[in-house]
Amino acid sequence: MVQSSLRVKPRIRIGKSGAREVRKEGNIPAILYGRGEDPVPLVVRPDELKRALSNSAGINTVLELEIDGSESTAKRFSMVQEIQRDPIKNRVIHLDFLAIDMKKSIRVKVPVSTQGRSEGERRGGRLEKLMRTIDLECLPGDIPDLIEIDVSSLDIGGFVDIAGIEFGEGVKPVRDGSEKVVQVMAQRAQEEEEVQAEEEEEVEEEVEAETQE
Amino acid sequence: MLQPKKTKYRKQFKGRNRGAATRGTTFAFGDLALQTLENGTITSRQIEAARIAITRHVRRGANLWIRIFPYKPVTKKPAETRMGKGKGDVDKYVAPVKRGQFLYEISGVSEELARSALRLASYKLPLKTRIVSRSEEEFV
Repeated sequence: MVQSSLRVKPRIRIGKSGAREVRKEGNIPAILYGRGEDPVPLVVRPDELKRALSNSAGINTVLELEIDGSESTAKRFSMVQEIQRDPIKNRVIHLDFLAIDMKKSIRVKVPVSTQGRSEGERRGGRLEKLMRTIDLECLPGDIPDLIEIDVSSLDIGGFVDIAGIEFGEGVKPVRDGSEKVVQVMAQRAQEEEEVQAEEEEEVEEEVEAETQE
Repeated sequence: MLQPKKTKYRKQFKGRNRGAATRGTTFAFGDLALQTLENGTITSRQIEAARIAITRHVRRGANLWIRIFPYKPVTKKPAETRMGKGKGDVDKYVAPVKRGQFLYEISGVSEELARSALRLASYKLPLKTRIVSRSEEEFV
């Protein structure tokens, strides 16, 4: 688990217009909710957010939110629940923080990484990552940064399923153990490839014929 | 070419296509994607031409996903016809797209090869596009 602190401000201007004003100032509107408490609208500075999440855990970082109040600074443990982005500019337009209890287990998506080159790949196969992340249930303090899978011994047709991965103590997968995470597939046969190419040729000819009409 | 198997109504109004996309703007399958930066329509022929450009370039081993579908019929009156006498016949099917929409996603080949394939595909399309990678999308 990686923990970092993030200084945020409470947001008085709520709703669509309030959020727009916050964005105009170059900040990110956000909200903190969870644990049965009232939601708290917040303002986050993009540079502070970047600093807080730039570590090995990334989005799974446990954040200690320091909410600057007029009288006192409240501290709350939370995690990023959702990031909304502008699809063109790619900047963050809204953040959801989920308040967490450090003594209660939560569900997180942890990224999968493969190690080594598989035996199957050396023999012409290709490694398919069937899952990019694995859903895990654990205490916030036990969240692994990354799940590393050694694939060097996998031959063509070989796979690693969820049950075949050791997650460490207190960490259990949410999904069924029989679900495959990585698999080495055989390359498609040369004939199949040729048939496909021919089909494509035909389609293209059809298109050309129709265009000429 | 892609087109609906059956439609409830044969012809549709032209409609308007404004604003940015809110769905289909993130990765669902692949590692690299072609994203449109303009609003417009892409015909089933253009989608097919771009797909062929990609598959021919990468040759083998790639997984390709087409994230749009040409569901909208576009009608056309025959040449040298006087105006009136009702709406023309269905000429083609198009996919209306808004800026930000992912058009193709690709994985299973090297990034360099995938980028060049998507670049070739972009030449077949009538809109400005850009290539985005999953690693750029991940925080921060």
